Amino acid sequence: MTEHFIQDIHIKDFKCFTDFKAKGFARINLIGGKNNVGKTAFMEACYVNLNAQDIKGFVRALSSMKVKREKLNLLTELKYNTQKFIEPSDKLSVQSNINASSYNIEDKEGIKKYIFQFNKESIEVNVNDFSFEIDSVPYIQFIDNFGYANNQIIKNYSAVQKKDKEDSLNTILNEFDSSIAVFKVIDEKPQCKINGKYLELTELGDGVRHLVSIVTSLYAAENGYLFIDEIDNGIHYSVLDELWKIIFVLSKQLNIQVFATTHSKECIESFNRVQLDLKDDQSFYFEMAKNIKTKEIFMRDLGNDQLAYELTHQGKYRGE
Amino acid sequence: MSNLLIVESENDQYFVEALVARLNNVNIKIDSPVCLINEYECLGGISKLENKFQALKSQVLKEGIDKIGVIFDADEVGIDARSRQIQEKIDLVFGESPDIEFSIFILNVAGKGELETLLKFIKSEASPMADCLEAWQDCFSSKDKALKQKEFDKFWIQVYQRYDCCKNKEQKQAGRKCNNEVSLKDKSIYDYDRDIPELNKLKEFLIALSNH
Repeated sequence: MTEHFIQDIHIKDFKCFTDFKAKGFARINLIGGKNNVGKTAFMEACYVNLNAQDIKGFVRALSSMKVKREKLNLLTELKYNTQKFIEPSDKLSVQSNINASSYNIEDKEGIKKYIFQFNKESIEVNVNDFSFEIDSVPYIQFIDNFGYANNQIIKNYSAVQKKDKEDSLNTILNEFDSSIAVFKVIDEKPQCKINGKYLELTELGDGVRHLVSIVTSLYAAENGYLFIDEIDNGIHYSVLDELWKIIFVLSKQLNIQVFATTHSKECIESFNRVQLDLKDDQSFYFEMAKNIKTKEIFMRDLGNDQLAYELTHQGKYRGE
Repeated sequence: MSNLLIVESENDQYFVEALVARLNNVNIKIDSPVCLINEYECLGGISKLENKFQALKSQVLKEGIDKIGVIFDADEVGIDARSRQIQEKIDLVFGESPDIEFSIFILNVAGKGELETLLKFIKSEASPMADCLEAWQDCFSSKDKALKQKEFDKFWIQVYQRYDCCKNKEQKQAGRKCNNEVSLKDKSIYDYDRDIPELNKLKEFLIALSNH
């Protein structure tokens, strides 16, 4: 049932990684570490590797992670150039127990080609002929630190509807924020009914958008994967336990592997409280850091008890 | 080159800090103690040492630590047995050929005991209140109650610090003026310069760790 979970990964020549290996991933994986150590890049590498099931998914994943990072800079551009966004990932290689994927740009005698390798296939595309539809894989979700845009929330809400889980979604939202009575898509706009009145999601706080993004994604990602960057962004610390409970319960019910990042000690403590409370041994905290001597990045997994020990005994512990 | 010292409890940390302050050019980083001060389950410290070493695995890489010193109590098991227990935990977590060097020191008086046994041995002030606990212990025994020597020594030190060495004025603010940290580091109620092998060997251990 969990055969599709990533268990080990080997990333080469991608962003901050030159040759990075990690293993031991569980159903829920929370990753902490200092700024710029590679937490998001690690999730992006996993995301690309999983999406590289065909050329459409591969190219879309390569370009979308760059688009996410460039989002603010793209506000003024109506269309973006896919090629421009995949070229910086030249020489990328990500091997996991699920897939072996790599992407290279070859330039021989003035002929430039993109070479994609995935699922034991190899596809070469002349740069001048690069023109095809790209598509996302619906059961592989990647939420950045701002949450999803309306169109993606609407798309994922349809998964909630197909599963007849609208009531469950409303219950979760109501437990999280008692002022939210109902979530609906009205006139192609996600809206929440608050104090008897429907308000567009854009009018509500970042936390509500992030929560709606996460919960609807969980339903959309059944038997798949959910990546959440800066999971606690916009979420008040007092409701973090509720958020984690939702993720623990739904990911188990729907057989989803979850990867999330955080900078917050409160978020790590909350994660640990919930994993201990639910006695969930399929969840790990991963510390990501740099070896001060070799400058190499390493990852260390902490089980429930070890994390509890370090949170209470290390004094200065902040997931660094 | 960088070193790190692991101690069992906060009191060990204060004690070592007091000693280091008396040694010239000794520079040692003391990590957070293995046990919390009120952690009942951690009595003896050894039960949490594996967790501590696991936590150190990444700290070693992040901070470039080359040598780790470990100071633990001999307790009733004695120096050799306690050293073996610690070495087993090191082997378990770091493997038998770790990239870092470990050195172990076992606090003791005549091969047994703990920090408090040593402190009782080097106390430098009159201790009428704490000494009367001997009579109290006799009374306790006559009622078929037993108190381990370890517990007794801890109790003795608390009474010594709080009642024998704390002035009346200070006792009104005992939490601030008579606590373990102040008693061990700021007051001269222990003779840290006493010429006894138990203390001398510990100083040599700290100097060696620092000079690494």
